[in-house]
Amino acid sequence: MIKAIVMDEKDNVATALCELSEGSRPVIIGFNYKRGIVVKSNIPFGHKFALCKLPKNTHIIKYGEVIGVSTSFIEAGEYVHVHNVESLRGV
Amino acid sequence: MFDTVAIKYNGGSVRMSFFGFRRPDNSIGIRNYLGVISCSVCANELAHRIASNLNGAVAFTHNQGCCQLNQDLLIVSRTLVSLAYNPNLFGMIFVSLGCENIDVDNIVYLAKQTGKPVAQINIWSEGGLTLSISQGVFIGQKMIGDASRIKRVEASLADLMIGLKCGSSDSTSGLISNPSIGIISDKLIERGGTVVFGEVSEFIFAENLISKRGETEEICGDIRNLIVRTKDRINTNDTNYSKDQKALLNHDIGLTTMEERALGFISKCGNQKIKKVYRYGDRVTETGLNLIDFPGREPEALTALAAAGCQLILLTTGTGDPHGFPFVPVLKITANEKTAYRLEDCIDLNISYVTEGLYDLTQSSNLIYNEIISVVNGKMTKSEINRYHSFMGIPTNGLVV
Repeated sequence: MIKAIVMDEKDNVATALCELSEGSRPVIIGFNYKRGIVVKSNIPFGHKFALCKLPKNTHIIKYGEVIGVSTSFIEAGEYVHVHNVESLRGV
Repeated sequence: MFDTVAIKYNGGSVRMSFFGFRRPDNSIGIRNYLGVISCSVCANELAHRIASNLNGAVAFTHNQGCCQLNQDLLIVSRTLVSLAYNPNLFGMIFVSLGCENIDVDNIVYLAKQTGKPVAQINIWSEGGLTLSISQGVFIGQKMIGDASRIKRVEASLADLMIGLKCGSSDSTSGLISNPSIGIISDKLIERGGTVVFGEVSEFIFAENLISKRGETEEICGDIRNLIVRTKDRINTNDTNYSKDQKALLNHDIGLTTMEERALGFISKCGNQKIKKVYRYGDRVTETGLNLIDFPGREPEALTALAAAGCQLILLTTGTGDPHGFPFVPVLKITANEKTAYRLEDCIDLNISYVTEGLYDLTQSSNLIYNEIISVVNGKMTKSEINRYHSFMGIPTNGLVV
């Protein structure tokens, strides 16, 4: 069963294709299949988790492009969203 | 792509060609309609009444063409002339009232340059509505008789121009539907075809990412200028727009930043470089990926794609978008299973198998490709059958006098 998708080979986040529960190891389609990532919290459908360790101020890459920057250290498998990422653009 | 699964579905042959109607300018239509085109808001009713009396005719109506200023009238007339070139039209009847300030004679003159049959009905000259309807139906009947004698001929994918549009998007759009379309867009262009997109307001918050996708530095500049112009237009009318859009960003469906939303939108264009940027109502002249200045709202967006010359429009939707266009099939695709069932009479293709884990994006794009081939060969889309296309639009700068 496919559980998450990576949109581009350069991406450092994956997106859940179903509700992922803490401690599960989703099958990933798209790119970066090979690595088994254990998610560190419940991830809702359409939300993201880190594919590797992301130190503070790391560019978050999805679709092969920068979608924002981390505002704290993010562990592999950790939930990635507004609590630890901000846009690089002003309003 | 188009290879592994397509072979399975088509029993051993991957179809790289289709059958369509060749027009005098050598373009290929996938439909063979008589278009009854209203030149101004005052003749919309006539357009619908003529078309509704004829099997094989469709009406195109809009709310412009009269009591407008020169700049807006130019947008409307170039759009109407471009629509006449759309390969899905065999011929056109242009209808008008008689006093509108758009130059109807000039539109008809330019439309005749297509080499297609063109007729003109004017309510004042005909002596009223009843005589205009009967004259339009009389002429239209002859034209449709001629149209019906044209046979479909074999054409290649390079003859196809496909328009891209998304409407009522949700989290499945940016993750599944749009990237699946992106794969098709890339492959169609590799085979010599043309793809057109617009909806500039959807990506004005990722101008740094989009504007670098021009084929040359000059095109990159054109894209930047288009985004700046769009932002100016928006800010002139709504100073809170940027803030409001940011507030509207739906964090609950997983979108973290405006950049992420814009990238999900643009993923339907694939990875090809943008060849040219066009004004609203322009015909697309370059093969490959093209960008037109058109807004996101369906009646205006679909009109721009039809005016560009698209024979087919792919519309990805999350929560369900019913819109069609009178003479261009709009193939509606969703990866949201609930929408596919709830709006079964509006949605043409369900690719939610990806969320169920049954398919990957290559397989979903193969499903879409097979449906495209069926539709270009004549399979009717839902909005063609249920005629959800009576009220179309052309955007203008505004002032009506």
